[in-house]
Amino acid sequence: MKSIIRVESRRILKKEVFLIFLAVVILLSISSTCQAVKGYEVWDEGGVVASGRENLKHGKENAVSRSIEDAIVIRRGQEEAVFVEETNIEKLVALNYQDKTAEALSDAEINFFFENRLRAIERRLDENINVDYTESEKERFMKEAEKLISLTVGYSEGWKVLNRDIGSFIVIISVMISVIITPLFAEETQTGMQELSRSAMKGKKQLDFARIITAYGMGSILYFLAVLFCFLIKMMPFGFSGADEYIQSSENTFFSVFHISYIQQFAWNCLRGYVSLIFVVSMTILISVMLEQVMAGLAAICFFWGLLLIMNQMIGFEVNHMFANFMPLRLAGSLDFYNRYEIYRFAGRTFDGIVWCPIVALVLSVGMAALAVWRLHRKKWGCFW
Amino acid sequence: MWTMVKFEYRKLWNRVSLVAVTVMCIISTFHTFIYLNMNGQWKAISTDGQIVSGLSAYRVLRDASKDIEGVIDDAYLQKLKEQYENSIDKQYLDEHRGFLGTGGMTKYMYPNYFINYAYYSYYMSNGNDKMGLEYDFLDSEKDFYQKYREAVKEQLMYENQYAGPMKFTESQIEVLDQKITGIDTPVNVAYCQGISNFMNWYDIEYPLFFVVYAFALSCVYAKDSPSGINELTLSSAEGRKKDFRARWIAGNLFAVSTYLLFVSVLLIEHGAVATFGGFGASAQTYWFSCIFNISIGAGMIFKIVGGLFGILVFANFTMLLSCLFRNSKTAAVFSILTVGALTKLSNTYSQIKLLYPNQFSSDAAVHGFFFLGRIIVPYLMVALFLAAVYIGIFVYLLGKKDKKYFIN
Repeated sequence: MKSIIRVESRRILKKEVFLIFLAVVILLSISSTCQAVKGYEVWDEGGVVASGRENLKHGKENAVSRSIEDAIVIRRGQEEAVFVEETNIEKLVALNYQDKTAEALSDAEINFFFENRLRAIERRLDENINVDYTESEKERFMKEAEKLISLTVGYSEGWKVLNRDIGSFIVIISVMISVIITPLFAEETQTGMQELSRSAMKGKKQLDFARIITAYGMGSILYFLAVLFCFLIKMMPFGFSGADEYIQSSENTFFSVFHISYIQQFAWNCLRGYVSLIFVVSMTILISVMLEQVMAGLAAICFFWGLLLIMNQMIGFEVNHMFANFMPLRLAGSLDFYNRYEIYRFAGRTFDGIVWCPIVALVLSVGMAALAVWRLHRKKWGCFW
Repeated sequence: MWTMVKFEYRKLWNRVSLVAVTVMCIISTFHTFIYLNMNGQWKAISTDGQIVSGLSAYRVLRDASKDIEGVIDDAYLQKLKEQYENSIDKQYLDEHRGFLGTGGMTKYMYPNYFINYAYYSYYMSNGNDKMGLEYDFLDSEKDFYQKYREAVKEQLMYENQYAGPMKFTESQIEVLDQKITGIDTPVNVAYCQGISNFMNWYDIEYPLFFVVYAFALSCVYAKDSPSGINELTLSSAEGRKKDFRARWIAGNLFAVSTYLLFVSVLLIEHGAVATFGGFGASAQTYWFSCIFNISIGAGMIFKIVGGLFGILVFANFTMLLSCLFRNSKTAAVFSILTVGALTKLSNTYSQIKLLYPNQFSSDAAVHGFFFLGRIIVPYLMVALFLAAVYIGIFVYLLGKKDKKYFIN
């Protein structure tokens, strides 16, 4: 079995293919990192005041980890926010106090920072036009939100950027992995090897089993390798500090009710990404088994991603809630799971979207893999000459 | 020759292209019906003030819109002001500030947005706050169209200054003034939601059409066909001449026929849901800054024709890649990467993007234009010229390649 897996792995992941994969991973990570750094440029009417690197350097040198209340008090006496450590505080203040600046806040208002945040979350729950929450559901959300009783803000730009961008990176990696593993089950008609290997002694159940293991194994190795490269390249210019800060110190997830740190969020994102990869691998196996040709399989996979991209563009709650949330594009890439308070009700219980969607995706993956195995079992193979 | 073309055309309908075309049609249909039928999103205010959601919202809107259809002249403006002021629609919009911004529809969108454009010019968007009619210039038709023409000029000058490849000269601005003055007024307004939906869906799905050709045409000159016959026929002396040409014609025929199929699917679906009412209404009521005297229906046809040019360019590009790599998988991957790159590069305000074939079907095909000295050349003509140039280059390169097409 081991030798079949080794041979199949080599068949689909030739040296050149692996090098191209690695090159694309590195290029994507570098380009995404450069864009992220550029996003930190400081502008005024006259043009660029500070480059992204200068801004980040200023942030690293001047940001001090302190409570949000203290940070706002210190900001009050200062000039207009320019650098990242200053704008971060102002962004949180604007979110929590309806577009006010730190300068405009009184001591009493600052002391009620967390109460204000809770009120905003409650308002969001009440005004949500898509979900009609029950009292107990609201209570559960509020209980979770109340767990945040102190918030340290310092320099954690690397983690913020990493958690924001990792989703789209995982999506691209998943597409590449599905392209790489498509030839595992699809035919190579010109060589006629499919018929030959299928006619061999271990060419049926054992070969199928080995190929399935190869698909998931190869997919997993490539996935974790790519994520590792992305992590290292992305964090290099930003630095690793701030891993234990709560995700509420980021403007992207300030109203999230999940009481987790950036490093925990990264672990969550990687796990969601991995579930979406399992889904993609299962779907690729099923499609290539059904369509039998590499090109036809790739066409179907390509249009599936096209459909998901269209759905992402259309932004329809019902479609996302009932379908797209379980699909790899949103499952791996969307920040909505942290901010939208999306719930699923099943068997009298309520589940958070961030937990429920990966579970459903896993169930679907198992279903697709089982269907592929059944189809392989039903198929008649043999040598026809 | 035509027998060969016929056979080559038939050969293009292999399993890969069948999967691609079928999946594209299914996606298009799902995309249309799922999103048009979303109860939470698409809502219309009926004549008696009821809010109707889903597919029936379009019929309700069409029936209600009969009140506002007509020529926007003096009498129309005064009547509209009075009618809108006392309408249930206005009352509802005042109470639900986010209605129009979140998929809500009212019959007053058509005239009121057009009128508000005269005030907001390039700052115009949709939403409840762009529905008001409390403007002094509405007291007379002349003042209104004067203000409208100023808004059009303001927008065109602004776009040219910030995104135009070449700034207008004084004499060109003079010509532009004359053209704007020549816009046919008073304009004709009508319900056009079906056409609008068609164009929105078409714009979203257009890049996916390219993906169909990336898969279907990447095998035209490839050497990795399942039977291996392609290599033989294309390597023979006659094959390099006649068969090469036959395949090129068949590839283009395939592109045209499948494109018409996709467009027909969209037309039938959107026509069935929301009808093509408003075909003859003035283009200015939909593309506010359009300086050409055409109808909305003509604008829709311009987009479809522009799209066809774009498709043909891309089909020829894929066939060239197929000939260059002689491997269908590599050609398909590069074609898809090109689609991705074109889509990404088009995400800019700069008008340079109008040179890309995926932009030939954009709204610029209706209202865009370039100056050639003092002559205004519509973008559709520019797209036709560009398409001819691109295809000419690809055909020239193909011709050079076919002489060296030898078997391994």
